[in-house]
Amino acid sequence: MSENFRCISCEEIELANVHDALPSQLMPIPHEALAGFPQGRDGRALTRRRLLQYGAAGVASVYGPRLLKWESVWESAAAAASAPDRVLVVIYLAGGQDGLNVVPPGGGTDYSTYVAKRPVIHRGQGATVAGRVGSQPMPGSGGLLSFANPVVSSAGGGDNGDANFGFERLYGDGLGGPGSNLAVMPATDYLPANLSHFTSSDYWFGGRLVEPFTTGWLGRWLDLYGSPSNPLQGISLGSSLSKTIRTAAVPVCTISSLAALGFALRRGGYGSPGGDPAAVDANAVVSQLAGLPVGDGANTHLLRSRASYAQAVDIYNQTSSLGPPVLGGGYPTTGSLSPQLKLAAFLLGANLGTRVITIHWGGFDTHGGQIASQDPQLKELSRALGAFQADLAARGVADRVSTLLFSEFGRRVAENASAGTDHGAGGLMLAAGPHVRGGLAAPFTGLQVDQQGDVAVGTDFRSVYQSVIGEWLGGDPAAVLGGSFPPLQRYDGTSGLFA
Amino acid sequence: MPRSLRALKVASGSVTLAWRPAPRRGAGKIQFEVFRDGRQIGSAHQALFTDTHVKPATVYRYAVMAVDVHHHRSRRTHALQVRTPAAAAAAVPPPPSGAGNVAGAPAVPAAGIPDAGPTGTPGAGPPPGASGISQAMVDRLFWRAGFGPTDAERATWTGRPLAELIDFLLGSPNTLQPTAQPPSNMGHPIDPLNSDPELVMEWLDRMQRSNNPLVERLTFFWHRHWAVARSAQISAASLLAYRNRLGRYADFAANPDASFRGLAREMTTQDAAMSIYLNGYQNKKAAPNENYAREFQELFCLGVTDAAGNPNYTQSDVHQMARAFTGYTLDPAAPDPVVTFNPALHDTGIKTIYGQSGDFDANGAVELVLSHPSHAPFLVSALWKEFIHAPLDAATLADLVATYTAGGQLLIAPVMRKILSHPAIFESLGEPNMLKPPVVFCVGVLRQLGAPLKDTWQTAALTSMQQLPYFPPNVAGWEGGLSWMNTTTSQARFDLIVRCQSLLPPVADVPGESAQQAVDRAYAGAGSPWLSDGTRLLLAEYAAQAPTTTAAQRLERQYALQAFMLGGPDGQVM
Repeated sequence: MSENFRCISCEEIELANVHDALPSQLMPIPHEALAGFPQGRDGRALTRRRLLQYGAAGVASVYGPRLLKWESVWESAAAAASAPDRVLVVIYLAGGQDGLNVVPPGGGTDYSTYVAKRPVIHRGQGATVAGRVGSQPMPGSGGLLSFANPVVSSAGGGDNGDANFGFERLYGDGLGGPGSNLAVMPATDYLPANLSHFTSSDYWFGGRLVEPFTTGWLGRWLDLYGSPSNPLQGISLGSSLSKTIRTAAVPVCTISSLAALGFALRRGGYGSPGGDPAAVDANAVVSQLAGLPVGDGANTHLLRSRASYAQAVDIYNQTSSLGPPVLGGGYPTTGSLSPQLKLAAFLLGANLGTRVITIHWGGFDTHGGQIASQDPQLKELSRALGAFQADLAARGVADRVSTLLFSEFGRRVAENASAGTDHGAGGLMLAAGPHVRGGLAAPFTGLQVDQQGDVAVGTDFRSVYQSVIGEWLGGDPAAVLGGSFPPLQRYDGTSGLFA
Repeated sequence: MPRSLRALKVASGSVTLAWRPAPRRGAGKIQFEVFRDGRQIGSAHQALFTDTHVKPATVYRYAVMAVDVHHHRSRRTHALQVRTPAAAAAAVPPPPSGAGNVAGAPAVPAAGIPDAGPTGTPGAGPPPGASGISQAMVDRLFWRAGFGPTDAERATWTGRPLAELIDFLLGSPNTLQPTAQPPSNMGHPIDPLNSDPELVMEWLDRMQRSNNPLVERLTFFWHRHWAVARSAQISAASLLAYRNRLGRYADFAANPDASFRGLAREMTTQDAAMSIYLNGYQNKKAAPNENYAREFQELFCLGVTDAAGNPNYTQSDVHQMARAFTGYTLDPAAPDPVVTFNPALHDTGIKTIYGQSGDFDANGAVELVLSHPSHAPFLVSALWKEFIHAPLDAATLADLVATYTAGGQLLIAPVMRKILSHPAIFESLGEPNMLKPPVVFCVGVLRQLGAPLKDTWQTAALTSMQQLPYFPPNVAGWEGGLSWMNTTTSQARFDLIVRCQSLLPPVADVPGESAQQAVDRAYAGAGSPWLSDGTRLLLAEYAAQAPTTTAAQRLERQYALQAFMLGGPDGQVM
């Protein structure tokens, strides 16, 4: 069967986000930020000018337990700008990425088992064969694994289509030295695996296997080691907050775009849609209406409505005079990941004290017609990730940025009758960046299929989180994760994810 | 110098001031400094300030000064004297009650504030008798159980007993009002099978014209609950059949005994759109597909955990239930696919679900889920949350569960009757406390303005407002609640009014019309919506300030007033 089935539960972004934070915790950053600078602080005018120039804070909405004065936000951002710190970009591949078809077995009985279990959708070895993409050997893995062609650059012989960017370019020789900057961590999960999108993603966001969800693992890290006054330290790209950075105490924010239209009425032309489109500015009146006090403090919905309008006007006021931001080039134009990575690189280049950026990218729940839906996303992913690294380097911030990719679970080893795969344990994690030790950073125990038909889980995902905190971001992993986990076991016998 | 300093709201613990900025040319961005009894107490970037450090029953004198970017200071305004009320006068709104006009306590006006509100507002409607409902209650029910009231509906129901209106909603047929302007796309009457926008418009049209709005409103709830999304594989014809199926479980005049059991069985064994969306037709004895079995429990019937946090089911239950659901198949390539049962694809083996073993077929497995102790609380809570803002308390939950499970029938109408007549639905009548879902807002605006459905004006707006029928973001439907409002959707909601205005014949130009007359005319033309006292005051002031020399200016004032009323912050709650 060749139907390309639209996938189900988490194709779009809603499930992974925290929407219902109290609106009293929302603060329009631009209003306070860009209009509220105290006079006479020339020493730090650079930061302000930079903000105005970029309009970066223009669309942030803040989630935190108390309202912040812009002075304190600005002091924090300015202080952080003078001593830039390390950053983690977290990309959530929503829906359950089928890691086995991204880094399939490289040969031997594992490969023949893989082909037997996936007669329709397996990756052939070598170049593309009719109707089925191939794969290229993964260096430094003893022939255990290979890269699927869609993530390999055209110069590397794959069908990624871009000669400059591909996983093999980031991966290098896989020995973890300079030029080997992509770590591959197959069969990473927790046991027993829960195969509900909603429950399992909560576990991954939270970094612990408990329900109900309270705080994210990086939210707790920010609570322990972050700033009490800089919401830009944790940014979710999009209109809602990722659970990964949901905090208990310190502020974080969302940024959805860098431009807003404002409120406008038509001038004339009523009674015919084709009339004079010249607009009449309605922002001043909308701002007044939105600033009205809400009589009953328990009326969170009316509060939310007024806050949304007020925020929209503030953004308009503060950004309408700014030019468009200077975004990086070289990204593919085929999907929705690239615009988010562009915005992330731009924000990191603006140097606002950001420590964590989360990106949510859906569409990996491939129950049917998997090849047709997964391959374009893999091409986008590998090219966009390569372009992102180049963009960060051009902005001079690549050395302090690492990127981590995860999904809420993997897929069954055997394909289903719909040329797709069902939810299974053991997903693929990736880490990229100049300080990431490239190569096979977690064991691949081969296709030992368990009773349920999943790969044997070789690594607890919290071991990866532990490395990220202990080796990269800094801090006590046990304090964040509530315990210690076995260190990562690299293929070369050493341990660790960062150099 | 700022002008017209006045107290917008005076309470025992706070005073909200507003003024007109009156900037000089070239002054740039202006900041305001606020003074109380001669001392500066704060500053503001807009012409609004709330002083929260006041004592009850005290007289204060306020003034405001403007400061521009060059540090030029204006003169202070004349002092405004304000007396805060005694603490006891800061009345809490009375507890929710089904009988009586429970508009929230009005703000205590300061001396000299004009009463700018148009007359005949919902909150100020005639007090009902012991058995009659106020206009505010009529408005509330038509918003929550429908898409907002028309003047005719208000006239019909105000003062009548609540039970009569509930009887009407639960017992009258789903007829449509005739329309003077049938919906059209590119000059042609719409055909829902012709394009996706027309598929959506067909439903919006039914919502706009329904005489008993609860039918379409509850059908739309079921769409949100049993979410299915249009795609290349799921045809418009399948979706119409799916929508009509859901509609039979919302039309209690035609189907007074509609039960959730019947709906659950039909979705499991008959609905083609659901079968394709959640891979049901690919669920075969030889290769079970767990997708539907999982979501059937997680999202449609049980939830992941019970109230105490214990899992409602296990992965094994999902797998075993998928086996029980095998055998229902269809041809996905057919233009109008039909689900049929193929015994050869059905697994007749013994399944163990929730610890019970047997040769369960699809209906048998559905029955196990519906008799799960978590099912009834899950379902009545979902219905409650759709219509009522207040949390569902334990006693009411128990009562709803008892009603729902009475005689094991799982009837929907009796639960709806309890919810729609519960006093909590009339909570906060003076200040509505639920955000309108985008579809309710959009159809409500069509009804308020009498605007036609045309081209993609409304469907494009619904996309920007983040709720396009037949296109939920995922199988969990739309999250709703507070998530409806953000900076993008607030602009989209405002823009919808402007779009709809452009589809209507021009309003009349009335030279010499006073500001208050202009407000009253715009208010009536916008369907007399709820507006807060503060909004009334600000709009009266806007109308008084707006230039009216030319006909174009006078028209612009009318359109602007309507856009602010319907597309502004107050227009978003019901």
